[in-house]
Amino acid sequence: MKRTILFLLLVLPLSAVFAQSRLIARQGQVSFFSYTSVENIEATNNQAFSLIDIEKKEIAISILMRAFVFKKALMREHFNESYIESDIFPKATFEGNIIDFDTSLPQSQTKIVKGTITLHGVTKEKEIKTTIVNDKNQVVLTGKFSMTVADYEIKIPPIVAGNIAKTIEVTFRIQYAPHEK
Amino acid sequence: MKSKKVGFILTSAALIALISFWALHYLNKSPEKITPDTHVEVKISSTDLLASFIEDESKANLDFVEKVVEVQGLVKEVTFLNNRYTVLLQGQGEYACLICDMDDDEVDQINEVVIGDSITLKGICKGFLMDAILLNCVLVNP
Repeated sequence: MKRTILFLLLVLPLSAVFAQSRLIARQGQVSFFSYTSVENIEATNNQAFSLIDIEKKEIAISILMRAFVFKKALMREHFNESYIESDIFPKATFEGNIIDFDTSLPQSQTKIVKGTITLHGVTKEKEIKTTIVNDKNQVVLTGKFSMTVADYEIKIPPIVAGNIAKTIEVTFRIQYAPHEK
Repeated sequence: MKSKKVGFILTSAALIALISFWALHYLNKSPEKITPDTHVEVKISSTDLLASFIEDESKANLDFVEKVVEVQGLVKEVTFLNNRYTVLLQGQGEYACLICDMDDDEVDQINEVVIGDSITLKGICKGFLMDAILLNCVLVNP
């Protein structure tokens, strides 16, 4: 709880003045795909929480690992209990800056978001290419990137190593609306 | 002697079939599905559920996460985003709310839900970010 509050305090508005430049998303979509010759594993989370400070060009995302939905119950069970260890590491976070984001442009623009991902208790720097559609009332971020499972100290037992890709593909679509406060 | 052998073969075949059926069923088991008959482990209001997470998230995780929870609350918003219907129930303050991701079979009932309605639904609690999250939700006595 303390970590969540600390994380959110960094990004939540503390006054109405700042609030106007901040956008919120409660239902961002983040999916991951693992392709191997043995089986494909796919899961989607539709409740990613995110805040963007348009003026500062800062972004923060928080995801509840247990909220990933799998096609098979056994995949979900292994993901939460054996690999991600959701009891110990219930959330994944990303904090970063959108480089050269031109907030005055209404049309789509492709930018790099530079920041850190914390997953399974391991924090790594990451650059993610994202397409930003900046409309009057909302901003939509979409993109795709890869993550190496071993970088985050996720241990895959040798017996199922062939079922899980060493590098997984992550896609996201986060639609922001003006902050309510 | 011959009948013993046949009996052994038949028993073995039945056992193998049973184990194969169980393994197949276990490996391909569909994700959690809540029905009107699903046993509810906790009944609580949306405001109390959110207050529990805000007050002591670790304790609330133990009390609610991965449990079937029946929640009563006031509808703050109904959204259709990324092909998912979601009902947001009000918390105590202005900010935090309960995000209820609805089951695909609930589409008709959700269209009847209006902001400000008092509703009861049940779903599986997944935890808390800025809001508490419930998945596979179905309306109770819509």
